[in-house]
Amino acid sequence: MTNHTLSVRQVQVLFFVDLLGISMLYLPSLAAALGGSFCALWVGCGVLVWAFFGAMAAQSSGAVLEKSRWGRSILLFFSIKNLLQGAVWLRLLSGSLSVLLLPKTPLFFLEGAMVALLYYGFTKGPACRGRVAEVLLLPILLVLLAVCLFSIAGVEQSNITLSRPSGGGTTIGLVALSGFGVDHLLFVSALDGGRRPSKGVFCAGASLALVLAALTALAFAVFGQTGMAIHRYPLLQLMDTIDFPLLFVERQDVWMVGVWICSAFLFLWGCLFFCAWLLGRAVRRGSERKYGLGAALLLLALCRLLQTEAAAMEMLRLLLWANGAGAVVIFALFLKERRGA
Amino acid sequence: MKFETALMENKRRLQKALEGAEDVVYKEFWCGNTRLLLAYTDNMVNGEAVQQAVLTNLMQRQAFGGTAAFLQENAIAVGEIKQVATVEEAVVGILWGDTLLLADGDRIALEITTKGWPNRGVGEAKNEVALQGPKDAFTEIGAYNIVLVRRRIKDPSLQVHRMRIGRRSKTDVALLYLKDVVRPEILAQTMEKLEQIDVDAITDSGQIVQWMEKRRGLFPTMQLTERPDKTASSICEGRIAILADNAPTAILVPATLNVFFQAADDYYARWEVMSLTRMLRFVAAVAATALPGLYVALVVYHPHLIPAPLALKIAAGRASVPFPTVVEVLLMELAFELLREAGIRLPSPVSSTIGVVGGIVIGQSAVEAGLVGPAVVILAAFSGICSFAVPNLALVNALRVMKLVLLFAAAFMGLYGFYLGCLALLVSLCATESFGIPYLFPFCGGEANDGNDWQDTFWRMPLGWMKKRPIFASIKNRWRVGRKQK
Repeated sequence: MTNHTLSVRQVQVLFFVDLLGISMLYLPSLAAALGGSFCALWVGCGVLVWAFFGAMAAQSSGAVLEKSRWGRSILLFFSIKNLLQGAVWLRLLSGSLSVLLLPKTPLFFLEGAMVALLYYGFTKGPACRGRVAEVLLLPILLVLLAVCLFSIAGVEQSNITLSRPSGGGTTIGLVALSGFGVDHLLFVSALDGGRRPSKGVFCAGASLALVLAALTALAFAVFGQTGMAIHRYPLLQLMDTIDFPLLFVERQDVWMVGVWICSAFLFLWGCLFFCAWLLGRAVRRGSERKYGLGAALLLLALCRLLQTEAAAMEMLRLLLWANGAGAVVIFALFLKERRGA
Repeated sequence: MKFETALMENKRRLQKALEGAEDVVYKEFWCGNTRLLLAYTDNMVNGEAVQQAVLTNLMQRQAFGGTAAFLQENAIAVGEIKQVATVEEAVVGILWGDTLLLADGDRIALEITTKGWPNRGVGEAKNEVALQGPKDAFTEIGAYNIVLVRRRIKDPSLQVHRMRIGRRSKTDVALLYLKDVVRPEILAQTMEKLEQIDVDAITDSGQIVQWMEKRRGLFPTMQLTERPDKTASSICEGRIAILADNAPTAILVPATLNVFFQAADDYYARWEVMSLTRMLRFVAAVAATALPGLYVALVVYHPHLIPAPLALKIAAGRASVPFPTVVEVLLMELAFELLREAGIRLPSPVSSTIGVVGGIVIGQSAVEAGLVGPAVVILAAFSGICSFAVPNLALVNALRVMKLVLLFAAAFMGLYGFYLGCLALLVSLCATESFGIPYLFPFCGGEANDGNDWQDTFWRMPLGWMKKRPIFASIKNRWRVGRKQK
């Protein structure tokens, strides 16, 4: 755990991939339920809100929180939030993987293997996470580009008409859902000697808003309002509609699952790292590695406690409020920073 | 222990220090009216030089000025002569192939450079064969290797820094670099790491690499090459070459993963063709590492992902196979590795026979006997051939191990395990650094050096475009083209 330095580009890429990993699953269907034909706009706006907050977070320094007792309580809050959101996303990931890839394998093995890898990543430091994100960005973008190019053939004209929202879900829920991982940016400048990559972060968020909006629009054009409601993960299934006979693999959605695993892994790695790192800062005792190991074990235990996917979704709903609270802290710190300047 | 003025006492001390070394020759003779002693190791010196430049010259002299310094300036026709004052220094010199000259009444001895070791001469590169470009390769004599590099860089800023490593072997090691191009922090790190090596003996550069790396990790962070042209061009890029005596390979530092895919002749042929070859190498590396694992994941866990006609073919081929798919793949991989190992160790006429016989026996007979499916034979052979397309042996070895890791990960959890294995590999590679430079540069951090390093990665851009040196060079001296070059 020596290398903490992240370049501006790495921060941008991490923000992009983190938000992509958590948004690509549930956001499109939720947006379709809320916005009907305008779902792409809803997704774009939802992500754009967090691009603003991301830029604010990157501009502010979470390190100031260490100096007061209240501040340390806020660090503790973010640490626990990271632990809980990590556990929820890990549970959702393993549940979905169990459905998509390994129906016979017990969830514990899926979660245990991921947690072991997360701890391995934790020991390598945040700079390594930034580098992994940089390397993964190209294959991720290539897969997304392939989805865009090849699924155009599956677009049905009847779907490109105005349709009403089907209901279910709230705007606040949609916006809050797209904001996991933004609080990581609050502490990036503390990690990296005070650099504030706010403009870059906003650009990354805006790019992601565009990418996700395009993909959602495409999914809507392919599946239609009804299809978006039926399909659990429209973006994953969008890949499955591609018929590409030259490929060795019959079902193309495995590539999208691969993209999702990679981005989810990076997000979970961030959760584990910031959980341990913030805990260390709040408590000011012990080594980071011990906190990391403790956090990894806790993550696994919490994940095991969420026995059903319904329980995980219930916890997710609670965490949406925590996301809101996080946004308030980010905004308050931003204002404080501005006043100080 | 310092020399005395009495010649006999000095001889006794030398003989005591070199007790048991019966190949050391002591010759006493007169120069004028002064008694002299010559000591050298038999067959390690250039006999003609000792005879003509030292012995004949001295024995024909009628007068002697009384000191070693006088002889150095007036009587010995050898360019490199060093004055030594202690027995320990003298002993190292004698064992290195130098000739020691002691005069009665003088406390200073002369170490005359007369090295003349047996050697096999400059041969052709065997492990890094290039279709185009120079054919010469490094030899076991460190001094010759330096010459091979110097012939290619006739620049006064080419520095040759010598040191000796190994308490007993006293291996001569030379660092070669361009003073104005090298990054000072990398040079300091390299020297520090070399100075920290404190072992009995260094007999090859591979040992130096292991002592310097001091880390757990499969992937090489220093590059070994037997080609002087590659060494010279690397030095011009700001890298440091370490040449050890008795080692026919140079160590190049720093080394990122990207440089292991670069071959010397990539820069001698047209860029379009070489770019294609470069891409092929990357694809081959991925295929060699990932194919067996991917096959196991798809066949065992996700057969529904394989197109139906192909799945039926694989199933038909496997119908009579009594082993699980993982064991089947492992058996074939084992057979391939054994064939490879046997091919390396056996003399070349026999090794080609082993290759043919092994290929036919293991391939055809195993399929006919129903021990393995034909798809697995093709898979093992294909992944093996792919590994030969990677131009660096150390990297190929790392990929061989990673292939097994991914195979087991896929056998344990199918595609999910395979993905996790790939991610673990990626994390490990991203965490690795070579002398402070990320191992995956420029695939991560590529914006440094204005993104110029991307020009020599999956593709090789025209030489005219690659105007800047890579990240290895000092930031003050990154331009490699002059003003005349448009």
